[in-house]
This record gives sequence, C-alpha cells and structure tokens, in this order.
Amino acid sequence: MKKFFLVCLGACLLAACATTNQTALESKTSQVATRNYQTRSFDTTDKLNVMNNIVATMQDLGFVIEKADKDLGTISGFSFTNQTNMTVSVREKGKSILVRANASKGTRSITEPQAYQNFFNALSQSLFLTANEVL
Amino acid sequence: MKKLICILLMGGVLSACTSYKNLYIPDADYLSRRNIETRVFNTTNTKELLVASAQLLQDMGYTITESDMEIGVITASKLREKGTVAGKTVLTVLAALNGQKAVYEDKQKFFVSIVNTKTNDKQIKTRVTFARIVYDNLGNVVQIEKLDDTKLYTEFFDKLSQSVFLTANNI
Repeated sequence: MKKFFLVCLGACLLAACATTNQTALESKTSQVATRNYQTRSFDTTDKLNVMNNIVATMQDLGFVIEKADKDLGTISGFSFTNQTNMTVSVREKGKSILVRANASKGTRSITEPQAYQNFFNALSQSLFLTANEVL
Repeated sequence: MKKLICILLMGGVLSACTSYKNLYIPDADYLSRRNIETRVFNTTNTKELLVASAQLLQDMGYTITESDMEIGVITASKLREKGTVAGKTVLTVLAALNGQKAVYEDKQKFFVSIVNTKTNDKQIKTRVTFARIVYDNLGNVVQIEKLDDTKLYTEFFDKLSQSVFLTANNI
C-alpha cells in the first residue's frame, strides 16, 4: 500500500513537470498576459533619456549593468542583492515609448506582476513620467 | 515513511509558494548608495571619460566585456585568488590528517559597471558599481554580493580622476 502510494505520488510530481519544449518556449503561459504586466508606455519620444533612466533605476535597485545597446534598445543586468537577471527593452511607438522588462531568478521566471509594477514605479519616479498600461 | 511523505509534500508546496512580489522596491539606503557610487566631472566629452575609464579598468587588471558609447556604459570583470596559498595549504593538510577533503574559499570574480550620463551642458555624471562572486575549491558559489564599502568607491574615483588626467596627456 505504501509503495503504491509512493508510486502515485512520484507519478503526480513527474506529471507536473513541463516538457523540454514547454520549458524552452514557456508555452504554458499566455503571451498577451505576460506582455501586459511586463510592459508600460511612457509619453515621451526621448529614447536615450528613457534608456539612461532605466540604467539609473536598475543601479538604484542593486543591478550591475552587463549589456546595453542603444540601437537595439536593450539593457541587461544582474542584481547582486537579490540574484535576479533582468533585461529591459525600449521601443518607439508613435509619440510614446514602450518599456518592457523581464526577469528571472535562478531557474524560475519572475511571473509576479507586482514585482514588475514595483520596477515601473521606480522607473516612473526616475523619469518624472507616468507608466501607462498598454493593453 | 510518513515523515518522508510529509517532507516531500511540504517541499513541493513550499517551492510552489515562493513569491517574488516584493522584488524591485528601492530600499532605505538607495539614495546614500547612489551618492557613494557617483561623481560629477566638469567635462562634456563623454568619449574622453569612457576612454579614461577603460584605461583605468585595464590598469586594475579587468577585462572589458561590454561597452556602448551612446549610453556611456562599460562593463568589465576579472578572476582573482581568494586567500593565501599558505592558508589553503594548511587547511588541505589539516583536512587530510582528519581523513577529509578540505573545502575553502578559493577564487573570486569581480564585476564592475561604469555608466557616464550627461547631466547638463557642462557636466557628466559617472556612476560605478562593484560586485563579486566567491567560489570554493570545488567550484561551488559561496557568496554573491554587491560591494558597498565607501572606501572602495572613494579610491576608485581618485584613480579615475588621475586616469582622466593621464589619458588627456596621452600617458
């Protein structure tokens, strides 16, 4: 009986594991929902200023900047205070700029919308601009 | 057996419950840290400051890993020994006498990023951040930390001022 229970438990735990493809493509999560909480729009056209403020905000939050590319509009860093990786991308859209952040800690994506909201709050204060939801 | 099942279940439940919703909230010290990590230079020549920064990083034995002139970023890293060879030897011998394998802090990798931002038409703000990862002799990560010692940053900026002068004079 105990063995049977253990086999069942093991099977359940294994079944909960995602396949390689699911893990590689994060296909268990909705793209739209993810973009929704990871993206904010700022009413400005000054891309360089936005990127400079993203760098400053990340530094305030304990990140060491690892990569920055003005043309591609991406900034990546690693936080030595909470051991998370973050990439922030910046895109121009009409008279506003879209900022998208995605972060992970170890083997796990940060999927808590509140964490991103905290980041955008800090960025808004640095930019003196309101972060508008996109979707 | 019941204990084992309980531990397995608890482990599963706990791993599913880890929440990071409190990430990315600036802590109480971020403004003082910003001051420690930042200096303002009376120049408008970002390129000159970046070149002087790169020269200084080379002075300090770093390998430059990334740079972007427009954003004014340079990042670099270096691997160094942690502790003395004599100390490690003593630990190894002591452990061997006890029939064990010695485990000690062996190497440390330093990371640095320098960001130069024009604040107005007359000045450029330079902010530097240092961090390191410490590894033991088995290759395991022992410590991950951002370096916040004020003296480290004061000395760095003294060296940077010197580097700006030396580089401007092609030394």
